[in-house]
Amino acid sequence: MKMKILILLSLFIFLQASTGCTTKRDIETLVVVTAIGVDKGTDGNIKVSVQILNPNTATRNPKDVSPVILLSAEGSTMLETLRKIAQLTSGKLVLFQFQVLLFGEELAKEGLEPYAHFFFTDDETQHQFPIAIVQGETAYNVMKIHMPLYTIPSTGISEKIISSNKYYGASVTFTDLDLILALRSSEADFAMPSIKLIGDIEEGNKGDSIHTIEPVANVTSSTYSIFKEKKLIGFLTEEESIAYNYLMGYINESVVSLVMDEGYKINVDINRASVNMSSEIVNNLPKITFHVSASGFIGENWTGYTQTELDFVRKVEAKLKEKLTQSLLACIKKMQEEFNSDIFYISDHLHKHHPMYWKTIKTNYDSMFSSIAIEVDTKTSILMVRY
Amino acid sequence: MKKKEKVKEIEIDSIDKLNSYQNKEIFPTVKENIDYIKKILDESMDLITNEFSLHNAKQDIKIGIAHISGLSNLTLVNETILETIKQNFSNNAEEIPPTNVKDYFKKKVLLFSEMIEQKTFGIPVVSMLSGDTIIFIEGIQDCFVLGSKGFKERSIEQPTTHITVKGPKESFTENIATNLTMIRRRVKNPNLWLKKYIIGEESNTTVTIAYLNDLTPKELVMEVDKRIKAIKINNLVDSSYLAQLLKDRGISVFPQVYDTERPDVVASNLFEGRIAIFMDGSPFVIIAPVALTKFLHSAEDHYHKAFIGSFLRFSRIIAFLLSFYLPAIYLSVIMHHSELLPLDLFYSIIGQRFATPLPAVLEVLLTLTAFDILREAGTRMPTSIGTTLSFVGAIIIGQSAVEAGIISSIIVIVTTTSMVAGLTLPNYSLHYTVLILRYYFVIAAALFGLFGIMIASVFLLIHVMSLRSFGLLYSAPLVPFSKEGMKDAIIRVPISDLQKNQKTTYENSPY
Repeated sequence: MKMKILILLSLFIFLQASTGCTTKRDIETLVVVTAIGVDKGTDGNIKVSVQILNPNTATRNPKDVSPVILLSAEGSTMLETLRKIAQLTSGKLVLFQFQVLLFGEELAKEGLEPYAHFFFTDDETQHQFPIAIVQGETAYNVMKIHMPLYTIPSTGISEKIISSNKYYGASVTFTDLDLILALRSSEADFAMPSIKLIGDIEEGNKGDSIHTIEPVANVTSSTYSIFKEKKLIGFLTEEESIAYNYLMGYINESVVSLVMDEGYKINVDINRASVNMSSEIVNNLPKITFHVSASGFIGENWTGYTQTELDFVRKVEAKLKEKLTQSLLACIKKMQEEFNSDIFYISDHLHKHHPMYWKTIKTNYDSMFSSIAIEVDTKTSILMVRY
Repeated sequence: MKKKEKVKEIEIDSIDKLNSYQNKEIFPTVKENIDYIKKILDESMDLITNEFSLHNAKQDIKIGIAHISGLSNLTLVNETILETIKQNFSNNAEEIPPTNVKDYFKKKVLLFSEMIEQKTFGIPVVSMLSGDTIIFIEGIQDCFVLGSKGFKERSIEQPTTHITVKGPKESFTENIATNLTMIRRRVKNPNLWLKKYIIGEESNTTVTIAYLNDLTPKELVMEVDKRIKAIKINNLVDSSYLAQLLKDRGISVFPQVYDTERPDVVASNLFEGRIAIFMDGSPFVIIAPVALTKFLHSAEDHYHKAFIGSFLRFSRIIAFLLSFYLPAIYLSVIMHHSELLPLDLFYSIIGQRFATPLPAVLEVLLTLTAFDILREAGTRMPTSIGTTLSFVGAIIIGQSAVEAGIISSIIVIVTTTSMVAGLTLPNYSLHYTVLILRYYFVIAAALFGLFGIMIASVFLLIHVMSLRSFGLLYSAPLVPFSKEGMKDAIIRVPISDLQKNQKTTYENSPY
């Protein structure tokens, strides 16, 4: 009986708690932020730009008025600058609906650490929005342009990052929680998705730009940006980005084009991939192996015939393995030799699996990273031939 | 035979408390009796009285007759009753000793199956007012009541409040005899026992309870019997009066007895061990005891395959919940928890809210009230106007209000969805419950958002669980849980499983 009452009481409390706060906040009084961009400002300040939803446009013809407005201000901290921007609107900015957080390249080169904490601790943000670096531009400029196909531009940016991850495998949804974890990793080396502006910024800002069939300006999900010790140092190429996704297990779907020995092309549609990192210490040196397995089906065959012979499938599998191994090793090599950035979190792996050993190499890990033996063990299989 | 005696006992019981004429003894002469009848009815224009002399070879004897025109079948009275009396009397030409007149008439003349003999005016007058004929005979202080009911009644029509596509198409009428025959036709079982009561000091309304003796718990029958006998009321106009008089103590918006005009529903409930209460003059039959889940069932659930029946029932339960939760949830989301909305939906809702001048609560309450008014007007109007009114009212008033920017279209969607969801409930009584609950939850949501809805739900649950219907817990078989009862509560198991141990179905639900 006592148990029953206890269960009921805890259920009651749990149910009540699950309903959240009851702050009365009518939807029409909110000033809703849909995107935030942070750039380097003048005099060591930061320039924060926010896109604010214009509710009038939901019921009216969206061609008349822009669905969002862009406001920006400069200040010394995030919160202070946001409050400054609020002066330009009718009330407090609410952050729970914002879709994407952008950092300008200039700012990222100086490090992102100061700005992550605000989003991480803010009780309104939903911790699900993607974060991206704007390649070669300021976040402010990207937020200025109309997005073809999307009423609210910020939805377009986040959707592009997400779909690039889902269907091409060149990107990943990197949230503020991921950023915090990356900044706290042993070496604070990490890779983050980026976006790129294509087309004419000034034209894209105009309302007329959405009337043209060919977008005058657009935003596309771009390759990974590489951080070393919390600072942006460069970008991967597209092929390397996909390779990075294989190594990190971020692949959902991807495509690989192969050139067969006979000279014709085969396209393999990867729909399943996984990775497993293993390590051993040989001669007081770590030896890392990535066990990558990928499977998919043949989606395109330039001979014009559907070839279903087992020999052919085996040949494609071997070719796929060769190609994947090659590109993954290329990506690793570039990291080791060119950037010396441990974006694969190998340091964390060693810390976790060989804690005693890690203590001994901790201090000079940075210099020994480039000499770590990293191998790739790829398994490929073709599950189906499309015909 | 035993049963008939029982009925008589009850009749006499209930007559004790009636007016002065009840205990007035029959006078010895026909003239005095006829005059008395005329006196108590104040020579009403529909009262037909007459005095005749019967002849045969040995003697003449005077008889008097009284019945009400319109209530009694005139052909039956003239051609059968009077003709039979005349024939029998003249054919049995024998000397009657004055002390033996009554026996002679009973054995030789009044050869009718539906006949009772009375010494007072009580029962004869009430019977006459329900269409029977009274026969007085000169020299004896007894009268005879002969069945001659034959008034015009509404024919059996299709049900109008509990409509099914499959299944029987007849519904009860205002005539209790017809209604009881509809049940007898479906339950051909000597265990179907009927008990008759006369209730209403002024209206003398016949009330009959029906139950299957072998399936219904004795305590339940005694409880219903006790409650019916305890009723002190002047007049009964409809069985809903009875429903209110018989209900368990406590104030509640929930109906605590089930009323239906479908004989098939009554029959199936009798087989489940429930009691049906019929009232003369009402096409609605009361079924007790019932739990809340019963109101969410339609007769049609059983007329389809189990899978389809369960699906129908399940969707109806969802509709029931939506009908009072939907406006409240909408309100709490836009007033307190707009972070729950995905951006696209948020954008569309904020745009509509931005364009309308009223606060959200007022908007919801106004729309709910407007729709309630429209619904009420549509119900009270004659059918032809009513349908037009509800359609025209909803479309024209709703649409123009949205176009004028007074209310947002999403609120019309929310309100009408909840209204339409409420209309899926097969039992009409629950519609009004849902109406009240809708306002209750809207106010809770406006004040405290989802937290308020949760608090309101907890109080509602506590209330529902404290309710009883003739002793049966209203929340059964969900709380307390009964596996046997669950076979026909939320989902419906196949008929064969349902009837496997039917006798225990009722016993298992906590009574």
